[in-house]
Amino acid sequence: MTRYDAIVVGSGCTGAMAAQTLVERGASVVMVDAGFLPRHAPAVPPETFVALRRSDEEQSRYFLGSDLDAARYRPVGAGAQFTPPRRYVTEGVAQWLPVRGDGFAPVESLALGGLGCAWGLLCGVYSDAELGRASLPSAAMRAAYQTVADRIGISGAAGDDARPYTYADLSGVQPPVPADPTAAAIAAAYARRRAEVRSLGFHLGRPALALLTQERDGRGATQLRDMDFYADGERAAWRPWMTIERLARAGNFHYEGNAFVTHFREDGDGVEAVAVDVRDRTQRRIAARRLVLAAGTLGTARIVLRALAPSAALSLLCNAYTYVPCLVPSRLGKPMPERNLSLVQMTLFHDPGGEHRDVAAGTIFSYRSLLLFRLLREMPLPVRDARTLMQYLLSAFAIVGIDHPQERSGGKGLRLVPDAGAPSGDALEISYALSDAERDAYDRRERAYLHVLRRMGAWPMKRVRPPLGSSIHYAGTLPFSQAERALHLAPSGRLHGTRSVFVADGSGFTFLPAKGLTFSLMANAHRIASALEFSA
Amino acid sequence: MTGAEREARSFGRYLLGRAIDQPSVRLYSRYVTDDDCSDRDGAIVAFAARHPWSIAALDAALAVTRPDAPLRRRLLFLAAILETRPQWCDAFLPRERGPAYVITAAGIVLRAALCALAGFALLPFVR
Repeated sequence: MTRYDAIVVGSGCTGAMAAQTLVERGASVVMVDAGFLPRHAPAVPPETFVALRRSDEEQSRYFLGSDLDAARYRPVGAGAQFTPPRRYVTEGVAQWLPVRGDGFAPVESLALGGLGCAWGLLCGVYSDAELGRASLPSAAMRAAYQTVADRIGISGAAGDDARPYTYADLSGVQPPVPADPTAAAIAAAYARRRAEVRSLGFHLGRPALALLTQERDGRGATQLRDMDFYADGERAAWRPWMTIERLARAGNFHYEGNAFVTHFREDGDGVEAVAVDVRDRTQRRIAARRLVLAAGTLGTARIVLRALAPSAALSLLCNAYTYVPCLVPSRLGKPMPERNLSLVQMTLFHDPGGEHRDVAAGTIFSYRSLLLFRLLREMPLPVRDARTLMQYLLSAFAIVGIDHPQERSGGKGLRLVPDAGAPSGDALEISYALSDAERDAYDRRERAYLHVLRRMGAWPMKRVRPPLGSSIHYAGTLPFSQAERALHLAPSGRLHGTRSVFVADGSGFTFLPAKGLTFSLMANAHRIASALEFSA
Repeated sequence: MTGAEREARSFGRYLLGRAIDQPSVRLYSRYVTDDDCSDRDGAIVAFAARHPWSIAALDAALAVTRPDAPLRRRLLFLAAILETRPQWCDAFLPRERGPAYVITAAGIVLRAALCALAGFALLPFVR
């Protein structure tokens, strides 16, 4: 059996970053991954959303799916970004990653590139205070953020009030895409009332996105086709598979696909990952000196529990999320530009103490390319009249998402339970309930958001709270601990009680800031892979 | 003409105010499903398809009381199909309007409210 220097489990954002760091250090690396591929994803012509709508007879294939599945009624929840061309991202999850538990609806992936294939691209650098609360070392993370930014390429605005909360002092950042007229109207109102809004602890500005606005490394600049949820022919948006594709050309990297890792075993001077082939369910064993788990917080929890403590319970962190449809009356009946970005247009941070310690993150989107019919079902009007009205209202329509920071508290955890129907023989049981104090705090914060939005000319229509887990931000199952404690991580990412198992995803975070988790996950993965020792 | 095709034609005319194209009818007939449709809901759908004059009232009443009722699910399913047909895109893309359109918009909401009242009165008699 080939013995590698390191096994990386998972091909998402953290797996890709950890693998790149290890490969660049000269280690022999095998990435073990289920790696479902977009085999049947419909091709999308390289045209703008409006041009496609006007001309393509076959557009229902990518807007609704070949079986029109996206047109069927679904309750509000996570997953609007999983449009038919991205449906493969959650392929096999119900079968291979079963979850039980009322009220918590996690989103996971077994695709090549993982949830990174549908990531909203928002980048946020944690402050020193947030890093401290998450038990992440400040200096190492600062350096890691810059490395990740250099690798993936990010764009953002240089001089607005949100910058300290987005890309802070990172260099090499490309200019942002132009704001669309609705976002620009909100920004203009903010500029007029800036002192008042800032005195309430709010800071508005353009987002930092893992999106190229200038050519780089063989990737093109975004063409603003407003088709960002469906296609990206220029590769302007960074996705993990781009890094893996490049690593595959290196002699010291091997991608082992179709392999679902169930658990691991340490031997004398190394470790063995045990995997099941997702095609024929045969067992595979891969040996290495080090194992780097980057299967996502929930996936890694399953692997660790099976290997070390099948009956143990772990804690869980997840950002609570609320979204608020708003109307910007100054935009009523105005034209929408053909060239536009479907992704986050503005960010609105709430930092009441000004200490960057307890920051909520608001993201402001315009709405067009996810189609009108999804909005019609939310309106308490007959469909015919809702359609006519929404044609008028859409150019003034904005959706504000609010992510709340989350600290460790009781009533939030998970454990494995037997499940004879699952290939692994178990399911993840998650119990996650907010306390009354947390609900009150979130409510107060959201009401502050609503007040400020009104002051900025955006009239909130209602608050929608999707099921817990919809933020797709999970962390905190194997908290960092200086002391040697079972089911905890050393600051280096090493799993206590093991010699050669490291965790490179969000499992170790002891606090979950609200500023888009992915960029920090990647920085942490790079940090851990950089410091990995290969000697016994 | 099958029941689903008749349904698609009635619902399409209600949604857009004119006859819809055959490919849209075909797509609707092929993929529409009866998930979670009780006898009572099935009767409402069938009544609406047989009596197109009643669709607006039933839709308006259900929009307030049961937004995910099967009749509305089917109307929204057809709306999604029509939205992705090039010939109907102008009925779904944002439209520029002058400031006076606010009055028209208020009229649409008022009409919807009146339709809902008619729907509440009609629903108990739908068999």
